[in-house]
Amino acid sequence: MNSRRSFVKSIGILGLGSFLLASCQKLGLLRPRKFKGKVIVIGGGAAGVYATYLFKQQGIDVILLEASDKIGGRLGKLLGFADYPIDLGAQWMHGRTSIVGEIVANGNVQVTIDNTEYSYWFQNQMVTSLPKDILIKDTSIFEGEDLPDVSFAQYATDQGFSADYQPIVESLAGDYGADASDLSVKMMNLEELNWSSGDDDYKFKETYFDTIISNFGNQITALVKTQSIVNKIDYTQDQVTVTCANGQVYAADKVLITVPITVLQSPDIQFNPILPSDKTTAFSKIGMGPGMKVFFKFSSKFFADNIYGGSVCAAYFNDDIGKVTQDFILIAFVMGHQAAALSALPNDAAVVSALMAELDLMYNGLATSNFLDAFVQDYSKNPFIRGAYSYSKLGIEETSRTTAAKSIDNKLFFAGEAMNLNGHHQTVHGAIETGFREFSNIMELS
Amino acid sequence: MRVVCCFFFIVFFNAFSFGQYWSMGSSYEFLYNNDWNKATQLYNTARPFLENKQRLLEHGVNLNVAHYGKLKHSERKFISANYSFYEVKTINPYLTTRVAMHMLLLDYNLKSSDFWGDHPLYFSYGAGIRTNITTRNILDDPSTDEAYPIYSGGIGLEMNVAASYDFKITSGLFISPFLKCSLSPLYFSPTAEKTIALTQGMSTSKWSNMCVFQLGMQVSWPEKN
Repeated sequence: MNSRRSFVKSIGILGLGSFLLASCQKLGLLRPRKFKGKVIVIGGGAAGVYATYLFKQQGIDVILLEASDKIGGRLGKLLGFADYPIDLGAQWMHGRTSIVGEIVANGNVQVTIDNTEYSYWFQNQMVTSLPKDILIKDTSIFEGEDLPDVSFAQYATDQGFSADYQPIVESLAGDYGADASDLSVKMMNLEELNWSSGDDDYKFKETYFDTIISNFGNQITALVKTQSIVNKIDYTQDQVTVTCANGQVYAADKVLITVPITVLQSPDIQFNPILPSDKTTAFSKIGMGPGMKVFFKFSSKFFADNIYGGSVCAAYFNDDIGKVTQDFILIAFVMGHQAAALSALPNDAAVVSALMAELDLMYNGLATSNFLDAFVQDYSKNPFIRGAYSYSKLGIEETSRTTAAKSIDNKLFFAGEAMNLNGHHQTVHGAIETGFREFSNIMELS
Repeated sequence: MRVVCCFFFIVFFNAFSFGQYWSMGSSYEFLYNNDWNKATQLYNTARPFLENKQRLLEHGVNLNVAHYGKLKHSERKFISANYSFYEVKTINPYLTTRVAMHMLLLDYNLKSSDFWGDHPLYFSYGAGIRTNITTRNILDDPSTDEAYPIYSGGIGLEMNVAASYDFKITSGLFISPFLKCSLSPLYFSPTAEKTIALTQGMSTSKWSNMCVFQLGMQVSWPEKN
């Protein structure tokens, strides 16, 4: 009896041991490569450039089609305006716990934490604190759990903030690239619950553009076809056909689309067959408003490092943080309806005038007396970008970004900051994460 | 939670009340966890610019202590507590990352010798509860003012089988080499992918099976009466 029981027991033991051994496979340090076909990447922003770089590293036949005459997307560099290169687009690295954080560390790129103090233009005075706190340390009243599905503007009103605080609310919404009346408090928080890259903002001694685009873009130069405005994607056959406005036609097994959400929302790219309705609906629910950066060069630093609350421009930032410079550069960071209003002015001089008038009001004419130069970068007018970055618009659903990012027929893949599902949309590292995600998804297909 | 505490109280009470032997040991551990390995692969694949790739988290050391009950029907019941430590450092010129995993295991086992007659070769099998905490951080980065290591916690059950051979040194003192295999379905939060690869939603679920193979030595001695 004993030995029969023991025999059964031993068989069981040996069986479990065999299962454990059999379940273990020898693994390499890289993901196995299954895909061997051809890939077209559309859009030369951070997501497209990094994905192309990864495909190239894996020996995949890949080309990158960029509509404008250079790669970079919403990363850009301005030389000659100041005694240091200026980031025309994204300029802050938000947290370091990300691929970009490790690119920066590994490349020994010099960055500085931007922890400068805030000043507020409030009731026609420049103050360093508000009668009623809307910003508490690094968080605002708009951050928390179980917040209602209302706009920033509505939530501030509900919390007892008077109309005097509205420009401050606009500046906080502007950080998210949105109007306060259109940014969902609930969804912004739900999406940010996944945020994991760290809370500090860093500025580059050189530029963000160089760290990403020059660094990785230089490695894919031969694969980039600029001024290739894609206007048709046909995925009815095994191979996807991509047609450009210049008449060029390309074919590939997989197409990775990394254009801004505004381009996907427009009819500029004709898909054959048309995209599923749930996908186009998801595109439409993601917000992306006008955005503009205006750089001012002054002869002295009469301004605060961060100014919130302007009615022409809700947020101004000192650009000198982390730079080695003798110049004094102030950025007007204009978003939403304020950007739309300025963008509608007849020319850049009118934009500069409107902002200078506000700065003169804030600083008793010191803006005019110290003015040296200005440069306007209006992303709303860039036909291949048309805005700042994506935000959680009122009415967006928890599944909207997931649906938008879902591949179609294992032929069309979607990346870019708006397609980030980790709460890192609006950021360069978020865009790069999606480039890697879709690269990885494609590589796992045989 | 109360039920779990009561269960372990009964197990401990049972073991300590009728205990006869103590043992202590250490072992080399080989860890296989497909999700953690896949996360490491994702990390490396996303970073072709890193000269030195991150290795898989698979080699560790273990310390354990066990308390054995009386021999009954050719079997001894015993409980054991285990601590295991795994670490992988990846050193590149300006980027050194460290992944470390600490594991605790408390299990309840039966050690059987009857199948092999008088030979001191034993099989044991058991089950328990396993927890772990994994940290990932960047070392030696002077520009990092924000201490932002990532922590991941795991908890789950464990099933194991083991074989050991008792060498008698003196009366009642034994040295026992052993081989042990265990399987643990664990719930991780955040996922291995978020902890290691710094991305989400690409590879790993929150539940993940962990296989551990141990090769080690134990010293056993009788409890004083």
